[in-house]
Parts: sequence; structure tokens; C-alpha cells
Amino acid sequence: MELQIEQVSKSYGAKHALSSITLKLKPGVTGLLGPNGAGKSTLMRMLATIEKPTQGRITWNGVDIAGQPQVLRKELGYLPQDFGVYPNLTPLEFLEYIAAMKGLSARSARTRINELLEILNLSNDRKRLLGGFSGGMRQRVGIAQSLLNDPSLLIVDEPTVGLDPGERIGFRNLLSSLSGDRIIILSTHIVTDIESIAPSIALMAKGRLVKYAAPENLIQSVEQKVWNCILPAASLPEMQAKYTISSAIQRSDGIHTRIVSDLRPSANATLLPASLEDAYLYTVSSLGVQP
Amino acid sequence: MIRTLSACFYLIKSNLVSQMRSYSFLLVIGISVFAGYACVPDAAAGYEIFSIGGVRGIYNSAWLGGLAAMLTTMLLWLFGFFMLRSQISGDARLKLGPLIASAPVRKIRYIAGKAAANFVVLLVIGAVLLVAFMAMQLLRGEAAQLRLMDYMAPFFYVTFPSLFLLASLTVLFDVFPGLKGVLGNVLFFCLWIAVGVVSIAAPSDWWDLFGVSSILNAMARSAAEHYPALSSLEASGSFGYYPTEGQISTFEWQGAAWDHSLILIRLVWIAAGIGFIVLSALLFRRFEHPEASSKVHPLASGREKTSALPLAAVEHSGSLKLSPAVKVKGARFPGQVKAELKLMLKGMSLWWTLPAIVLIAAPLLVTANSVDSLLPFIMIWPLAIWSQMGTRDQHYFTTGLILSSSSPLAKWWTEWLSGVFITLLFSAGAIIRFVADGEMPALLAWGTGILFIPTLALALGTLGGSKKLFEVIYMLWWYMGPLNHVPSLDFLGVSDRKPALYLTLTVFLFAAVITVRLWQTGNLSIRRRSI
Repeated sequence: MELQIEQVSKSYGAKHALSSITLKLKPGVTGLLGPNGAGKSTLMRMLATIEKPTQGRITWNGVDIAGQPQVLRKELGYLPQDFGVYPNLTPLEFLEYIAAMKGLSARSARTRINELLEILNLSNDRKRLLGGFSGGMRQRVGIAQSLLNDPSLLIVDEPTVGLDPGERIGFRNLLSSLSGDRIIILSTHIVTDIESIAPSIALMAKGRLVKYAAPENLIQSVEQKVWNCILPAASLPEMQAKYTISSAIQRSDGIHTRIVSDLRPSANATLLPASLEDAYLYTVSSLGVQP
Repeated sequence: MIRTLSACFYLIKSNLVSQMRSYSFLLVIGISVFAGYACVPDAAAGYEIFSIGGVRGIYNSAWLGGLAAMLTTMLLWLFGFFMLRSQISGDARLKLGPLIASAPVRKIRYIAGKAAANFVVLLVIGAVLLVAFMAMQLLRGEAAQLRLMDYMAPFFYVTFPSLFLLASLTVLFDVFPGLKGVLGNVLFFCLWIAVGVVSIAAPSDWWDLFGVSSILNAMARSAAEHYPALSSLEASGSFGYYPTEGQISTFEWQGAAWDHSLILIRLVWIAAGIGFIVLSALLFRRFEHPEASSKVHPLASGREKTSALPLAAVEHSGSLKLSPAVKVKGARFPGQVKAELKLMLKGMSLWWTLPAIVLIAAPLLVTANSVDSLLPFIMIWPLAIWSQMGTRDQHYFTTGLILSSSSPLAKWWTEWLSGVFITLLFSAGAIIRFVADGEMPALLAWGTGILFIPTLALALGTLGGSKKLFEVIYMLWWYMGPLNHVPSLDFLGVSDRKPALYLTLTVFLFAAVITVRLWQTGNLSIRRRSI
């Protein structure tokens, strides 16, 4: 099982959304991290066979999916960032419809739908109309539809939007338990979502793949570069202009700022252990992109 | 006061700009310019669009100004309504509802802003048509002097108040319970027909909502003065495609005498429009969430309301095991068509279903004399089902989910087959009746209609992206063809059996849309593009 992205570019007229992305993915969770406008959703839409590359090719087990999208669609689960549902259907009916579109047998689909509704805690709401569902519940229906056909490739774009903190943990656990024998691509801008489940991270900015590495390697790249400074409130704007600040917390003795910098930002700055968020901010801001 | 006016201005401006940047607006503008050209043919063009007993006025400002006013009101009352009738529900669909509801804007100001923006859009379209007619006067050169007042007077007396009333109806139909969807569209279509008939045969100016009668009568009187043989044909001017031989006879018309008493009547129309706007504001629920959250499907066994449970933050021990997902052996189409049919028929109320059953069975129950009158009505009832074809995923933002699950062409075929099946189902009684009566030509013509209707629906849905386009075109076609037996427009062959024409048209539409679909999916172009 292998998904290969070879020199893939995507343009919309004169606008270049993606430039020469090359990536080879094996089973397991790959986190796709990047600021808004980095090209994550465009890449995901191409992987989900909804769009085609302007240049380059994407192969699934050696087959070019631009020419034979059906080969991948049979094994694909996709949860888009923005999606709708048919409001006058119940979750059961909606999932039955998607299962039919995916070519699943009615009997097996029914069993799987019941199991998924159970896992996603939607069993009690199976006969309520989707039009009355909250954002989080709709998101769970979206997750269920992406798992209907037992996908070998699962693409989830900002899946935890609309979920509360407890639900986010639940979803991450669900994703971890599914990751054994399939490729999962998880796109998000919430670093903690990726940190806890993705053993490899693809960092994107300005339509390019900036880094593809394990989280610990990314963190290592900013060791000895994360500083804690206690600043008076008045000097914060000046520091913000000069350095990448990953957090600023108001305390009685001043503002405790977490600064990512190659150089010690001030004489009283003390080193802190680096986190993935620091690594992300450092990498993205070094490219001149507002994180 | 200034702040209020400024807020209203920006409300109207944003609505207007958003509308003017839409493809439908550009399309209507394009049609208006074309109409300006096509409706003012050269004297030797061999056809006329409007004539009074075979004569017409010379193309001076009065004649063309009157013609422009009549065309603007008659056409915009139909196409303008369908273009603008969903501005408020559009805000809800685009999830702007909560933003607007939480803003300090008052209901009346929001609704009036929408109505005003729609009114300005309609006026802009009317003005474009007017300018096109002015250009055509200069181009045709039958009367050199461009008299602006002759153009502006009918615009002021007829177009302006009539379009204001129409703009108020666009918002009323968007907030009045039950009129947002296809029922509202059908009712408005009936209203358009009724207003058209009443306007032409108006006993007084009070009922002449299209402003047709006051202009038409003045034109006809003038024609009769110039050609006494036409005096028996007073007020018989009509719009249509009339082939002519040689040069058409003309006369000079100096325009209608615009009586100031008309102002009072038009003020009443405007007052009625304001009344509709106020009523709309009273009915508008400020995007209040419907009580859908507590809705349980009527066929559900457990109807007690349950509170939604969150996704548990539990650790799944090891790898999660689910039942295997078994793919269908052999063709996927039957299962997909079945699912599509369920989706198409979902949400249809009992009040829709019972008449549908009666209509399906009716051809078997009526006498031979009545069957022809009944047949057209069978083929208007499933309008709401057909109009969803090709537009549903765009409307509900499910395109991404569907396209990643199934090939776009397979989905297109699935929808087409389901549409044909629904049409066939509605035709069951008629088909049995044709076979029993040995009416093979009628069966053949009707069968062509069964293929033609869903193909037209899917084609217009795919190309236009909105169900309104099919609804307005189909209703117009159905009204003129099967119901009123206009030659060549009867796609069901109720009066005029032309299966070859409609079979050809079906094949053409089919090929055109498949081509467009292939192009959209990037399989026809050298450059790959998004779906």
C-alpha cells in the first residue's frame, strides 16, 4: 500500500496553489500542518480525486489516479473541511445513500453503519433529521461516512472543527486505533491534534512542502531556541515585531512570553524545552509567512 | 437620519454588487441586449415580433419606448422574479443568517434593503433594454430624432411602479411560509399568467399591472386611424414570431397620452408593494433556527426526544475492528439508482403523495373525451423532483463527499435513470390507457416526453447549478406546449405529435451535457481542471 505524490503542482489561472510537491506515504498517520492558504486543502482534494494536478502525478499502488480515479475511490475515505448533508434525511439514511454511492452491498453497509453510529455515539440520534443536528454531530456523521468502506486511504481535512475538547480527544483516539493498516492523512492547524497521533508530519507553506519529518526531529531543530522572557506590557509590541512569539501569558510580575529565536532575546531570557508548536512557528515564520 | 440612510445605502449596495457579479445577472443582461436587437427587426428582415393586424409603427422613440416598457414588465415579471426570489434564503444557505440575526439591523430595514436591491437590479435590467432599444432606433434609422421623454414616460408610468411591486413580491415569496420552494414558484407562475391575461384584457388601468393595455390600446387606436380596415381589430396587437413577406406597412405613432390620473393608480401599486414589504418584515423570523433539532423522522419507531451524546473520549484498546465492508458483486447501478430514488422521493409530504397517486391512476378512470385535458397535469406534479436533478449536491454542499465516493459520470447516469424512472412511474396510468386504446403514436410521443423531461432537468441543473432555471423554463414550455397546444412545443404529444423532434432534442441535450460533464471533470480538455 503506497501513495506517491510526484512533483505535483496545481494552478488556478495565474495563481499557483501548489508547487512541485513530492511525498511518499506508507501506512500510518501523516499530519499535514500549515498556515491558512498553505495549499493543504488543495492537495487533499487532489488526493481525494476531486481535482486533478496541473503538473506531476499522484499514484496509488503504482496507478495514476488522474487517469484511473476509480481505482483509488474504491479504497478512499474522505472527510472534507466544509461539507453539507441532506437535511431531510436521518443519519442512517444519509449513510445508506453514501454507502450505495461507494458500491457497498446493502446488508454489509447496514451492519457497518450501525457499528459506526455506535462508536460515534450517534445511535440515539439515528432517526432524527440531519437538519437539526449541531455542528459537532454533523462532523461525526461526516467521520462515519468516511469510514463506511473500510478505506485503505483515509483523508481527513480539519476533522476536529466543531468538536468540543473531549470529543477531540475521542476522535484522536479513534483515528489512532484505525491507523494500523491504512494510510491516514490528517490535515489541521491544531498542532496538538497532530502531535499526539502522527508519527510523521508534512509541513506546508506557500504551496510548498517545507519539511517532512518525525515530530521529534522537528522539535530537535528548535532545541536551544525557545526562550522564556518576562516583559513589561509596554515592550510586548516591540518584541512581537522582532521575534516569533508562540505564547504570551499575563502574570502579576509581567508578561511571560515564549519566544522562538536563534539568539537570546534579552539578558534575562531563560531556555525552555521546545515543543512541536515552537518548531512549527519557527519554520513557518522563517519563510516570511504569518503563522 | 443620515446614519440610517447611509446604512440602507450600504445594505442595498452590497446586495446589488453581489447580485450584479452573478452569472445569472450577466445572462439576463445578455438576453436583454439580444432582445433589443431581435425585437427591432429591419423592415425587410422577413419577420416581426410585435404587430397590430400586420402593421406596425415606425421605429421612433414613442413606439420603441412603449415596446420596451411592455417587454420589460412582461419578461421581468417572470425571469426577474426567478432570478431574485431567493436572496433571503440564499443568506441562510450561505450561513450568513447568524451574522445578520446578531447584527443590530432591524427586520424591516433588512427586508426593505433586500427589496430595494432587487428593485434596483430590475431597474438596471430595464434600463439596459431601454438603451438597447435606443441604439436600435439609431441603427434602423426609420426616425432620426431620439426623444428621451418618449422613452422615459412609459418607463416612469409603467416599468417603475410595476417593477417595484415585483421586487416586493420577490421578498414576500421568500419569507412567506410554504412559498420558498417549488410551490411558491408554481403559484407565482400562475400569478404571472393571470396578471398577463388580466393586463391585456384589463377593463381599466387599475388592473393593468404589466402596463400593457394602456400602451397597446393607444397603439391599436392609432393603427386603426391610419388603416381603417383594422378598426375591427382594436387592441389586437400581439407578441410572437410573425413571418412577413416583403416590407411591412408602417404608421407613425406619437405615443400614449400619459394621463396624470395614472399616477394615482401607480401610487396604489407602490403602496401595495410597501404593504408586501411590511408584511414580509412581519413574517421574517430573523433566521431563527427551525425546530428541526427536535424533529424525529415520522416513520421512526422511537419518537421520544433524546439529548445528543458527545463522542466519548475513551481509549480504544488496540486496533478498532469493524465488520468488513463488502462491495456489491456485479453492477453497482441498481443499488445506486435505488438510493437515488429514495433520496429524490424523501421529504415529499402526504399531501403531495396522495394527489400524485390520483394523477397516476386518473387516465384509467376518465372518459376518452377528458383524457387529453388531463394528461398535461400529470406532468407538472413531479416538478419538485425533477428540478433537484443536477443541483442537489451544489445546493447542499455535498459535492466533495459524492465525488470522492463515485465517478461523476456514474452519478450523472444514476440521476438520469432515476429521473426517467420517476417520470415513467407518473406515466403508468397514461401508458396503460394508450395501450388499451391502441394509441401507438400517442404512446410513442409520450415515451419521448418521458426521456425528454429528465434530460432537460439534468441538463439545465448541470449547466445552471440552480433548480429555478429548470422550473421557470419547464413551466413556460409546459404551459405553451402540452397545455395550450402551441405547435412544436408539445413535448408530450398531447395535441401535436412530434416524437422525432423531441427525440433529437433529447439526444442533443444528452450529448451536450455529457460533453460539459467530461469537460468539468477534466477528461476532455488538454488542460486538467477542477471538477
